[in-house]
Amino acid sequence: MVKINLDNVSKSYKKFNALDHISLEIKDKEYFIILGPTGAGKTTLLKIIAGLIKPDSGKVLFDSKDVTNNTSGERNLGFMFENYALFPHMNIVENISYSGRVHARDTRNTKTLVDQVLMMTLLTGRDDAMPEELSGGMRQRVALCRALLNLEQTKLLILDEPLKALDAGLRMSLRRELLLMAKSKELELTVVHVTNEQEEAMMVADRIAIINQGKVIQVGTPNEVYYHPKNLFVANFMSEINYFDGICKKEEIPTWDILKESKRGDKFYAEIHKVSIPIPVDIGMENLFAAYIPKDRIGEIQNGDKVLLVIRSNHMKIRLGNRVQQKRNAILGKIHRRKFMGVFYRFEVKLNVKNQEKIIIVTIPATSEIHHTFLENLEVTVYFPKELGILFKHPGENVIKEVLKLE
Amino acid sequence: MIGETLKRKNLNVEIKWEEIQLPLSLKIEKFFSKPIYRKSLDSITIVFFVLVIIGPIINIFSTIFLNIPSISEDVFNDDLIGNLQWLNILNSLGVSFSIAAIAVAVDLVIAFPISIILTRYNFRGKKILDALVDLPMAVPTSALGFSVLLYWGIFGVEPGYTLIILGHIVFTFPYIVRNMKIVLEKADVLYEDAARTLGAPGITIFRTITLPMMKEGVIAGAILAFTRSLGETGATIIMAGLVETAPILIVGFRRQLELPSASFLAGILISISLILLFSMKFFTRKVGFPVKRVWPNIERFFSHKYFRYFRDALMMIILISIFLIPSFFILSQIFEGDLIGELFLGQDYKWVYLYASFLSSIEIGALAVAINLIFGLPFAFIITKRKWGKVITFLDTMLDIPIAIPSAALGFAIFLFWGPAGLGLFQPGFFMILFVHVSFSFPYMVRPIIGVLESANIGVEEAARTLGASNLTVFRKITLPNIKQGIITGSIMVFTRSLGETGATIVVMGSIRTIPVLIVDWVEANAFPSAIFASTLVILFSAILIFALRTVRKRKR
Amino acid sequence: MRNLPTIELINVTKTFNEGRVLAVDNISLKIEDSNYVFLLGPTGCGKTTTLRMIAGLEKPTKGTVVIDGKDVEEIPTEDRDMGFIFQHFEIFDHLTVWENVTFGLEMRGYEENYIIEKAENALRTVELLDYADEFPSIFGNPGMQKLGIARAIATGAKILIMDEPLGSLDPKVSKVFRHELRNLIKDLGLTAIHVTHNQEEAMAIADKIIIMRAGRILQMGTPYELYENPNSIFVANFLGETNFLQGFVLKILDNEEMSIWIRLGGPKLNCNNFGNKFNLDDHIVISFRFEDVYLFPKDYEFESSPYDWSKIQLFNAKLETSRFIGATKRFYLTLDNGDKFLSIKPGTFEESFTAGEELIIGIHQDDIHVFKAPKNLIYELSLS
Repeated sequence: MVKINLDNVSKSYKKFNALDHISLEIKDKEYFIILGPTGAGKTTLLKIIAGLIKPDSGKVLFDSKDVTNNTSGERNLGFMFENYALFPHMNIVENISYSGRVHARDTRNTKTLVDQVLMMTLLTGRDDAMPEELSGGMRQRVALCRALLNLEQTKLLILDEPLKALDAGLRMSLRRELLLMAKSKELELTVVHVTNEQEEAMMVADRIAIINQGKVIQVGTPNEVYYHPKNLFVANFMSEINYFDGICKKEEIPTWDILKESKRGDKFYAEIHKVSIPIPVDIGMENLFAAYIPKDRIGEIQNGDKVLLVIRSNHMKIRLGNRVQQKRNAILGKIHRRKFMGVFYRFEVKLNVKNQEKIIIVTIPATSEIHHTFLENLEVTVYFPKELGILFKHPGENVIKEVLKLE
Repeated sequence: MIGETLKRKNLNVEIKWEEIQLPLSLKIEKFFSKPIYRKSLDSITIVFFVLVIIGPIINIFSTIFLNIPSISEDVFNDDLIGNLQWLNILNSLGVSFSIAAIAVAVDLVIAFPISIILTRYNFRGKKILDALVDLPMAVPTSALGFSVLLYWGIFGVEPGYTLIILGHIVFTFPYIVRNMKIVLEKADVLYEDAARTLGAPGITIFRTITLPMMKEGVIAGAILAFTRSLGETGATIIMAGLVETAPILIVGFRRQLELPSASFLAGILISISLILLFSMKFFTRKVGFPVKRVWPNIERFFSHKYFRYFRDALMMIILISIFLIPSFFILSQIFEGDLIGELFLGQDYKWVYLYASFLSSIEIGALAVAINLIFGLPFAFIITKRKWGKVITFLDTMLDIPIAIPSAALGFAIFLFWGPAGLGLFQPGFFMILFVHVSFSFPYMVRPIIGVLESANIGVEEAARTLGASNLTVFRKITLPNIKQGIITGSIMVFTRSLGETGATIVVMGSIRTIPVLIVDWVEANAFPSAIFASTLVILFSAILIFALRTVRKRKR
Repeated sequence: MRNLPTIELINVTKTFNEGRVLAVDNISLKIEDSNYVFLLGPTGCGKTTTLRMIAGLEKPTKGTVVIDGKDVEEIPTEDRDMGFIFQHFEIFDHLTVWENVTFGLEMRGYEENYIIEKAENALRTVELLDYADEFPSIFGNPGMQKLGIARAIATGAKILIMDEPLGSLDPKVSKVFRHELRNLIKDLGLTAIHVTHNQEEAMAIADKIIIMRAGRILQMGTPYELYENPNSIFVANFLGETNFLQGFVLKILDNEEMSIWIRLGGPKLNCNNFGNKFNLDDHIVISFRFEDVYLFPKDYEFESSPYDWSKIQLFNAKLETSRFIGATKRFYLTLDNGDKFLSIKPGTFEESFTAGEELIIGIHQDDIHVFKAPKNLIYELSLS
């Protein structure tokens, strides 16, 4: 049994706010992912949970008991460090049995446990190997064993970027192993796992907390954060996106609201925007389109508000030719570049908006038909299902720039 | 879309390769980047190294070997005194070793907590404390020894065995703390964190995780301190009273021109130091610390924070009362006694001597820096960049010899090699002092440069080469700015070491006096106020240098 | 199409530590017709060494490197006129952004106006012109790498060499950055050689991929060729996500087709056997991509669909669990004999199956690749 509550936790280093009033609840037996870019404060958060860093203010509760002032040892949890932190001067068995020794647990008991763990992790027979002799994957296992063997009543495992140091291929297969282990009947762990990889998070998490610049942006299941991102940052972090800005306009069609659109918010945004305002909904004009979004996805946005429409590149669809009856949720363009990526094809479709170039990214499952027919420089129509459009109140150009810049 | 701009902008300037003239500096550098020039520089450097460092040491052993009859006559079967000389030598060795052992042991006990406090804790005034602990390394030992003499004089400690130990504790301490600090800063806190999450109490973490990682630094520091204590002369003369340590005996032999006895003793000292050095190089990896066994309950009990507070407070008190105050006690004595009358108005023009020896000290220091820089830089490159396998290992070990062996013995070896008894190229005096100083301070220049070269990123040099820079251009534009800190550190270290050296100087000095020697002379002549003034002067001067060094280091981060 | 430079390695071998470590084992390759080439392989496969030999930072122990028809053995790195982009950027941090970019131009002795124009262009290309007078320490990793790119392209080198250029960036950033990198190289018409261990990155942006393992080249070709026709189990496994099942040849049907058993009482499938590579009772391994596995509910009416089912292999499997990961949904499936495999569908895939449900699995015969079972399957399937 372990449930973790963070209550208004803050931590700053000199003038830098690493964590800014974070409150989180991690449920018992939950696989909880903390997701965010480098420097978001993820590792600081983990170390506060583990008791390696004391928060400046706020409380850490384990099962509703305040443990803020307890040492890391007293919290009794398993912590796996980013580069594993295997003691370089001890062999595998000494590493794994370290916590048994410092707690004076029954040595015979420890011995059998260690043997079992070694067997489980395919490391039998390598007992006296030193950490430096092991491959990355094996080190990861040893570190995991060492962390697991420290657990007594509190079944809490903390993983700091557990797969980061591994080759890409190995990473994929180990994600599932981690999840299966955490959920296995014998262990039933509560896991807090930090990562900066969206896919890894989606793959293992029961719930995901997305943090950025020391603040929790959104907490939810993988589905929630993917389909109902709270803001542009979350939307962009979860996949490649296209975005358009425009004005929300109510139309007389019952239960529908209408978004009227212009152009990707680059420098030339203002000009395009001016043009777009007076245009009626059922335009026949080139290069502009109307997005029809179901009412339940519009939320608090009012008629006339400036809005930002986000569509994930893999929610975009593409067909050859430019025959569309209505420009509802559909845009005309030309395939600028295409790239086979294995499971997907990725298209960069160039729209011509008043002499300005705009690129829309479309990724669709690869088939041989696409390989042979969707060639570069062909005229295409790009469209998207209405329920997959994500609409935000327009956050302002600066915020967009801030979120989308490569830092 | 990036790249579009570049395409759109039409380039009007067309360049033809044949017409391009490289600027002269690049041309010269390209020319001299040829392997042949590099090889010649390497050879010159190694010849220098062999002549200055290895030659005199080999020479002293061959001298002993060739002079076995006269040594046995002088040392073991003297007509007048029989084997008294040998008994003296044995006695002095015993004194020197016991002093060094005790001093290092005391230093170690205190250095562990202090180095941890200085690396792992954060508190106000940490930087000042850090600088104060480092400072005695830069101050001439004779000034330090004099300060210690005055301080313990208050408590009635007379010159002699005990006082020597108290003095040696003071000036060897920084070497140990410094080495520990370096390894502690390098050792990742990550491992200690990992042990904390696994439930290990503080003492257990220190013993099982931190200590093994500090191992090399602890051993290196201890041996360095041991050999420094073994070889120290200036302060020891001041504090010794009637006790004779080995270096004092060498100085004495040299003064009385008993060269066979002197070379015999110097040979013994050098051999022992070399054995220590090689055993350090060889055994450091194999020495194990007790990490397997754990006494959980006892260690958990003693890891309680009150014990920690008590220990830290105790160590701070010891640090202040045994190290810091004795080191700088002399500054409070400046107004005692009739300074003006003795220094400026005396019959013997003491101030003229002070001025002259201060100048000589600075001249010798500056020249030593310059020479060491010229040969030290290529030598550091040889050690770090050339792939000569065993040769590099050999040179690397040889490089530590001048640090490890007592400077009085090294000075004497050089005197024998270059002086009238050997090649006869130099007479005792300015150039020979310079020669000796270059020799024993060489590693102090090379080590920091090797340090920065090893940690310097080879990647940027490769990047520069892929961009079209020849090897020498890479050195000038990329490598040099990156290793500047190491060069400055090395230069200041060399300068302070040269400024502070007594024993080696006395052996080869002729009629010239350097500041530390002058202090020793004045103390021996009971001219305390003048000696205090001279000491204060060099302590302040060293403090400025250390301050400069730390600013340079800080800017690096 | 402009003339692209050619790079050729002929029987190149490289050993380290006096021959004790064999990094590159007698490889030959020629790069001439594509501009974005990847050297792809697991850590320690020799790809970086190969790259460094092309750049002249390592000398081959044996063999020759030929660039544009010239043997470059005697030409030092600085005269090879290549741009090099490093994983850890290797920016000169004691120089300003501007001095970094002009470094290579000055080394070539160009006149000042030309240097200014070229450097401005390069900085504008990576959108760093505003920071010209700053020191690079103000940048995060992405900014550093942009500067690294600007520095490498400013000299006008026609060959760009990149060692894990995206390896130090956050995953999200590197996913965006890689497309920009590809576009840049296309726009400038450079020949780029890019080393990585990340197959996803290689598939996403390569024109041509060279797969290396243990110092040798396993296969080279366009991403499409390699993905559709891997020549070994390792390549099939390394490039993309693939299921592997073991079985035996049950029956040779005709010249092009055979029938196989999946071991331990698994289903019977028809596979292609072009050129009669396999004989009766051969122990084999079959592979098929995750995305080539079609899922149908138990009660699906195949007859009512107009589709041609003749080449689709159908069999039963149980759905263990499924997982939504955004762009895709993953289905974990088990055969009656306990063998496990996976299917992935687009994230928008609408059919909802429940865990534990019996499903009908369809795989197109052409999507199944058959390999002879190797002696050490675990080694072939390990990704290192």
